[in-house]
Amino acid sequence: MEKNAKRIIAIVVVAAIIVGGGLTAYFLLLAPEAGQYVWSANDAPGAPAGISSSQIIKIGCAGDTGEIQGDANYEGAWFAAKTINQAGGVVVNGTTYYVGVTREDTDESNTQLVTSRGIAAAERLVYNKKVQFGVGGFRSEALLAYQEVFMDNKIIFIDTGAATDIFCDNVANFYERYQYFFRWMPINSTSLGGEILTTLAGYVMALNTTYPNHDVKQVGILAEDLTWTGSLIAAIQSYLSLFTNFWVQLLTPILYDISLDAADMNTHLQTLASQGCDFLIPVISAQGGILMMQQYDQYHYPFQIFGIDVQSQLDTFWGDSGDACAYETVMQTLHRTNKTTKSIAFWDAFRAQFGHDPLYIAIGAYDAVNGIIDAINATQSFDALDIIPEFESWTKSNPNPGVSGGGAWWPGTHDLVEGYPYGYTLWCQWRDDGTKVVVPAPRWAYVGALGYAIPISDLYPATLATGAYEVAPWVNTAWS
Amino acid sequence: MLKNEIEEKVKQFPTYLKSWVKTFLGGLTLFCIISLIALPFLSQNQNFTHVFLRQFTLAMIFSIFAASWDLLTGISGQISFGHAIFFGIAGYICAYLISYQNFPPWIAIFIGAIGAVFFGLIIGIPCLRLRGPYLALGTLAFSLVLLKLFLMGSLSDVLFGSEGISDYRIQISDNPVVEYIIILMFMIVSFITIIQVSKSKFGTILKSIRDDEVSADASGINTTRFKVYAFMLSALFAGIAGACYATYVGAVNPTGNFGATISFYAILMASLGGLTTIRGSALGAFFFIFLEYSLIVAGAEIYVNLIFALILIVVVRFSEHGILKPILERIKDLWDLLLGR
Amino acid sequence: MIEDIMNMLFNGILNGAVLALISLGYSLVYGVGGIMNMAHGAYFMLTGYLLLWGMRIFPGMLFLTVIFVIIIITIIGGLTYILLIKPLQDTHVGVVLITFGLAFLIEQWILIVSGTTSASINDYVLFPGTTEFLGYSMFNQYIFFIIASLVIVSLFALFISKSKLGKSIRAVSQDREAAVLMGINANRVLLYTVMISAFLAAIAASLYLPGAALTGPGMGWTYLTSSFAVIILGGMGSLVGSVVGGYIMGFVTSFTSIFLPNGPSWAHVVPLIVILIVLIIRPRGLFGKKKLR
Repeated sequence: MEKNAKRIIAIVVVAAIIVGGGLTAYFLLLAPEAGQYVWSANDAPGAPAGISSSQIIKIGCAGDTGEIQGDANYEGAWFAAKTINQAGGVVVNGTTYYVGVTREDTDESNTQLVTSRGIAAAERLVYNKKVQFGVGGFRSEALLAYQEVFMDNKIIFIDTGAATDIFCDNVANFYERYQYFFRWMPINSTSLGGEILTTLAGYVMALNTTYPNHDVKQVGILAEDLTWTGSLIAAIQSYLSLFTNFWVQLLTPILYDISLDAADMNTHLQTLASQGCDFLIPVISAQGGILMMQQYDQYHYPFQIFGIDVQSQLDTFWGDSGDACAYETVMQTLHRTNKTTKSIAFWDAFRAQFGHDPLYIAIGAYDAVNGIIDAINATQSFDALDIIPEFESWTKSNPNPGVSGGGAWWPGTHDLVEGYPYGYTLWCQWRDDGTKVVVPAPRWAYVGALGYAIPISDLYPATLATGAYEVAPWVNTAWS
Repeated sequence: MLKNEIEEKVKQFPTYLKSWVKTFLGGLTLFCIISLIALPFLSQNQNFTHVFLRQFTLAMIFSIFAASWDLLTGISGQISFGHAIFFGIAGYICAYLISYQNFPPWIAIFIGAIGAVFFGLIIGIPCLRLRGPYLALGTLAFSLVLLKLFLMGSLSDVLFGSEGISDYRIQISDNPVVEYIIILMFMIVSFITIIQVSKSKFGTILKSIRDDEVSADASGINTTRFKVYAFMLSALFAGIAGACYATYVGAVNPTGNFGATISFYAILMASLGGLTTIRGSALGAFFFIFLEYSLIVAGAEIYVNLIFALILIVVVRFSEHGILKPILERIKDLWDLLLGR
Repeated sequence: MIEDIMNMLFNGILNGAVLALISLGYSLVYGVGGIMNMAHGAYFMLTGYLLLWGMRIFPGMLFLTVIFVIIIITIIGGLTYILLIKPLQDTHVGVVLITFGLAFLIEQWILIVSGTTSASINDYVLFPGTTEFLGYSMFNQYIFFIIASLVIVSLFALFISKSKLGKSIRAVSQDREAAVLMGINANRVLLYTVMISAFLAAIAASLYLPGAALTGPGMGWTYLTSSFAVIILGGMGSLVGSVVGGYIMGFVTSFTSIFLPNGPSWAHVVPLIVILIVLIIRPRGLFGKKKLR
């Protein structure tokens, strides 16, 4: 009797669970519109409450939530959306639209990358949140995989963080498929190599006059052994080999395994010092930079550091490195200077909003969202095939500059045009009081027709500089 | 003689199938297979087909991978910490053939899996001298060497460097439902084969080697040969999983395909489900993927790995045989209750 | 050339000193209990982050913070044994999995608290500046670390051979059943062993990391795999082996880095290849005695 009662209860419970589970599954997943993300005023910062989903221009941020790169991407896009929405949104065909931003975690800053997570994030952005535009990207191999989701669905994706040449090569080679891809932030690796070398040559020339007793000549390269550094170093090497016979000599580049520790860094820096290195070009995106600066600070090596160190672009690097990064000069997209008329205002407003400096990805995302809205305004359309021609019309003769300069793209490759006043980076140097200044960027280049190097126009006007280039005191002692 | 044996088995198969379906485990398995086949046709909702279903596909790929690890470690007792070797090699071969040689994905997946078998042979032979933790560390070292070689920018002309191979053509089908069905077929075939192998004479020999290698040797079994076979067989299924994963992602890169995380995924999923059960691997993989999915949907994406680590600790600490056995027992109790037994 | 040789020797010793300290404890635990503690690298990493945070919270109390952190790590080591390892001792895979889970948990926790960016604990540098020897300059903190490492290794050897606990540790590692019959509480000895290994990892981290840097929460795995390699080379469970193996690894790394073409990118691959060769030629390592199951 009791057994039967138990049995009946069990059958009822199981039936209830099956029906309940089925209904839940139906409403969460199976019903025609089930599970779709509903856009609301919460996603559109600064927009009036109560706007409907159809009034929102949906922008998806692909980045690593909780890591500086992904957070910067979202901050930049969010801040742009807020600015635009507070100014009243954008009117298309008589209707007012507001900018909405959302984010998904691609996990791409994780050293133990799991590629499928990036794919899943992109799929949620495209199919679940139905974004109209994508903004983001940082790790080349992750972006290479998940950009395909955007391309499959013919959604414009603006790269704000990955520098490898391959993306824009794809646009050039398979235009039909990759025309939706644009790179707005980092200048491609090869052009970065050119910028580093010509400016370095300018400084070597100037310093040779300042220090007549020392021949400033030997240039060393310390880089992560990865694909993106490969094309950059190849560019540096091909330029440098032209200079060699005159006054710059290249030491064997040191390409290290990214999992290095302090003893390895010590080995490399000692090797460079014993070879008589005068200028060291770091090409570092990860933790190597902090080890390098810490040992440089202790050993007082007699060379200047002048190159790429991604972590050093952040204002927190001074504290993180234990106040050890003085006299390091790094490439940086933007600092508090008049790169364009909007730059300083943006810099201050961003700092006021978030309490820290914008990372280059944040600046890229800010410009990208503004650019998207400009294009929508101009074409009065949300169709990718209308907006792409508008983007492509922003060339050197018709630029649409953002806060970091830029504003001009090559129509065939969708890559940022390199060179003043379009795409160029600033050279920023750390001072020993923990401040960072923009230093001038004189340039020299080898002219094939002449057979020797001559000064060419500066990378950017000297008026952008906020301080003079300094030689570390110990280097000064060694050179004079 | 072997031929007769097989013929007999084929003859007996229909009766065997009938009686198998009537057993509790058989019925449950059949139910799961039918539900999996029916699943993609339940809805046309894009969120369902392009996001949710894709997670199922991923879970099925990892099920095959975890089961292959279970075959090597659970059944044959050869602990491998570097199973990503086979996973990654097959993925790279598959991606290379599709992207550079214009092979159809079908053939590329099979050639990739065969490449993995070849690697199983290469790695199996030197590793035969190693036992227990030494073997574990040897395979780990092997996978790290491969990872670092593939990462090197200076070798990128040969091994494609840190960015690997990416191409939109590296996919089974652009329709997620078709992809799902094909991967499901792979999974069913792989599981049937692995379970049958572990039940066969061959499986018994492997288990005897696992339990006591010296006496297995003494009773006239060529343990060396069987261990190499185990390696190759495990590599075959790991290779199938790896090649399918490459097509699922549409790209390969060193960290994503050779990384220690991938090796640990196999270990975690298989031991979550329950070692030596094979079926447990599938449960572990589905559990893992959907825990991750629901946490992300719930907005707790940065806590995914933390929560997973906690669950792993709790499961390993309090349930020696993973979660499969206790769950099956509960379901069986419930089933008996419903039938009034 | 002389500079290159000095460079190789110094960095080889520096590398070896770290690896020796980390692998010593790791190898000890393996020798005594047959346990592979995957959380060993996490102890090292966690020490670094606790020091970083301690330094930010209590800026003036350097030595107290270091001592406090070392005690915490030792206790964590003890808890790892009591709560996680002891109940699973009979299954190799179980111990590996659960300690792996712990290491993963610690890493993820730190990732959530502080992100992947690296940081330096420069303020703990006790001996700033450099010393020149034969035209080669060396960071004083590194010299101090090398000496400290040698002292600790010697003290440890003395402790194992002379003290009562050391003797019971050796007894358990040689023959567990016999030791239990002699009245030694093997579980307690194992508990102390795990705590000692955590203690050594914490010491290594608090002496070495001020001159190095915290390169992210994943750094524990790098040191874990290196110490794997070292104890395979030296022979599992052999203390002499792990010290000698550590230095050999250090020299191989710095030699590769300096003298081989494209060495820096091969510096961490060549040692692994050496390990594989050693494993194939002589599976029990240089100093391994016991045939292991």
